[in-house]
Amino acid sequence: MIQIQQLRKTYTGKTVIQIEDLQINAGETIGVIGNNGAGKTTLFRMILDLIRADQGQVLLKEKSVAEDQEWKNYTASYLDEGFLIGYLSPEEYFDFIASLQGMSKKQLTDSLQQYTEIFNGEILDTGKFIRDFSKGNQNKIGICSALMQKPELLILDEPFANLDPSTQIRLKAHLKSLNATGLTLLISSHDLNHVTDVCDRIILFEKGRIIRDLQKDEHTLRELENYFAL
Amino acid sequence: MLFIFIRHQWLSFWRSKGKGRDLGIQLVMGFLILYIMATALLVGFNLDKLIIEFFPDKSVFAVFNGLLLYYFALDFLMRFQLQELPALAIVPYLHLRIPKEKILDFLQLRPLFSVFNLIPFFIFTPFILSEILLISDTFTAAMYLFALLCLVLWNNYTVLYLKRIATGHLWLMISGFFLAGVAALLEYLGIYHLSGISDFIFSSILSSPWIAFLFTLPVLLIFRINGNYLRHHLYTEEITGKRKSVNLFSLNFPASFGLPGKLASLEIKLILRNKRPRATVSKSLIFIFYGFVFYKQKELDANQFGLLFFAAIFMVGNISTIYGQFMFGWQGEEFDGLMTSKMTLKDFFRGKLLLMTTWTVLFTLILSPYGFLNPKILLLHFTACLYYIGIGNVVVLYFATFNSKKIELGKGASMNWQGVSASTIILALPLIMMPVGLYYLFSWISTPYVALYILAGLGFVALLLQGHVINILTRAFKYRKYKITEGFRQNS
Repeated sequence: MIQIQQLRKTYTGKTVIQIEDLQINAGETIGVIGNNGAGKTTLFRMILDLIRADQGQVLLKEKSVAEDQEWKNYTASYLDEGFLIGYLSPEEYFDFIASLQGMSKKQLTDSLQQYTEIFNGEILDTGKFIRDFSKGNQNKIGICSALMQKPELLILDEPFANLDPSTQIRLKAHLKSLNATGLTLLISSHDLNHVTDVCDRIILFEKGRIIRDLQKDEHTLRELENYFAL
Repeated sequence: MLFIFIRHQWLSFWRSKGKGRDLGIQLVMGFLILYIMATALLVGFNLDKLIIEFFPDKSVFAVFNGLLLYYFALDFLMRFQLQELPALAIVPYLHLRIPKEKILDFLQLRPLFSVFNLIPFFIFTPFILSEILLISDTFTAAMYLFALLCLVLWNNYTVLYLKRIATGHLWLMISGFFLAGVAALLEYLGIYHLSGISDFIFSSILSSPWIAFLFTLPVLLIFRINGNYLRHHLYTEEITGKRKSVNLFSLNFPASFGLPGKLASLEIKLILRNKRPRATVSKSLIFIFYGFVFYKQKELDANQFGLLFFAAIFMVGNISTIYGQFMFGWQGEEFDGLMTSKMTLKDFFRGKLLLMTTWTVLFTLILSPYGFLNPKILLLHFTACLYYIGIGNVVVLYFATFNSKKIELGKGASMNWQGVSASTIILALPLIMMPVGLYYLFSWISTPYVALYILAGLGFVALLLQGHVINILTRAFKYRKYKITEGFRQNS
């Protein structure tokens, strides 16, 4: 699904991304972890063609994201509030996203139905614009609009941040169930428990480089905790 | 898709915070545009008569043809100053299932909805439809209009392109102005005449109309160049110019100024390190040449200071007024932090006034060479300076407390190239007109000189009472503080 080769990005002489080779297969659930400044979000932005690579390229389904835009048809993402349109109400925003996917009104309503639990009655019919929601609720709107697109590849940056505990648990369950249907998932998180719970494969970043690439087993969480405890 | 973009722009306008204020500006701008268009139409329908009036011994068509390129040269300069680049916040759309081409199309087509593209047709169409049609056929007149359309499009896209590549490249900007200056000088010296070139080109359209089709080539070219540039720079970080190595240069007030000095130094950093305030402040530097337009020997001799005092106030105070009307908005991003930090509101306002006083005095000093024209000008500047540091700056600050819309300095301003536009200057006008009005009142009661002395005296007294004045300001601010902080917390 994702192929990255010799990818490099430098800001004022400081390398923020340097990946020699990374392959991600369809259906994998990848957790990207690392301390602040490790390059997680930069990598996500480069996969989404939001940042120009200094060297190398990102291939999605063997096509360079910078040259071919086909990836937009099967990729959904939510990195931060910048992805939302603040002056729309959630309903209008979902409607806009749905129209891009060619979904009918009925399909949209059905789709939103799935997220009733996550929304917890705080998102729809509130008569507010997205910009007036709390960070956590904005996060919910962004994540659900990404889920709604029924993507083959889903990219979420710290999806559990700012969410209340109930929603974290519901979201985890939802992501796991999606994985069963063959979704490729790429998330980052600072919460080692969540990542090891949801993901099968953990990629550990430090200063823009991949320093561990682990298939999850019963020792993974311990190993990660040891790494970060240093 | 284009329709959706336009709808979103529409929604974002109507739903923006501080809508009331924006609406006010839009109304003023709307009236101005209507006025300009009406004037253009009036000129258009009377163009033949005007030409005969001003150039009675020349052929009407030669003058008309000669005029066209002049107009578009002027139009070019006007656009460069005033036309704003389309500021669709494209970030929320980049990751969605929207082809890049659609986003590009929007960025390309949006600027066509500009009044600049209408005015030339208002001025020239009546003449073409009456006079040109009289001496030739429909095809020729149509070709004239076509050539006009091409020139409009050429100006539109060239200005956009130049503005885009010149943003952040001061040297490009300066060399551009230099080139324009040289071109104007050569014309002035009679090395060549734009009117001759213009007449030659449009006379040939008159004789062989199909030539107008050649105009499409440069238009298509600049359209392509512009599109290519956008296509290759559709990465927000390249557009915002973030992440370049930073320049830590700044100017600081000496420690003896205490906390107010520190706050003023902080504000200087804000100005130096952010594009929008920097553009606002640097544009006001241009106004120091206003004196050459306004200071006329005749009025100086007759002691008719009204207009001259306006110029003095404008040159001394425009930076305080234009920057100061958003005095808190500039700090909107960190306002909550400022309000909860360990400082008194009094110090906060002392800092603001210290900064404003400093640059008022600084501008008065910079402007002092005008004294060589006539020493009376120095009195005007001195009065304006005293008025501003005593009263003017305080009034500006007072009105700034009504402003609860934060200004996005960098974030969210990707694709937002504008610094200060016509609307911000128009808003500042009433504040600048106030002392001028007072001057007229006092000089009507007594004499021009006495009026100046009164204004300077009032400024001086207010300066002596600044402690009390600051108390009044803080009270006014406290009254609206929650509204202001609330407004700043909203994303605009």
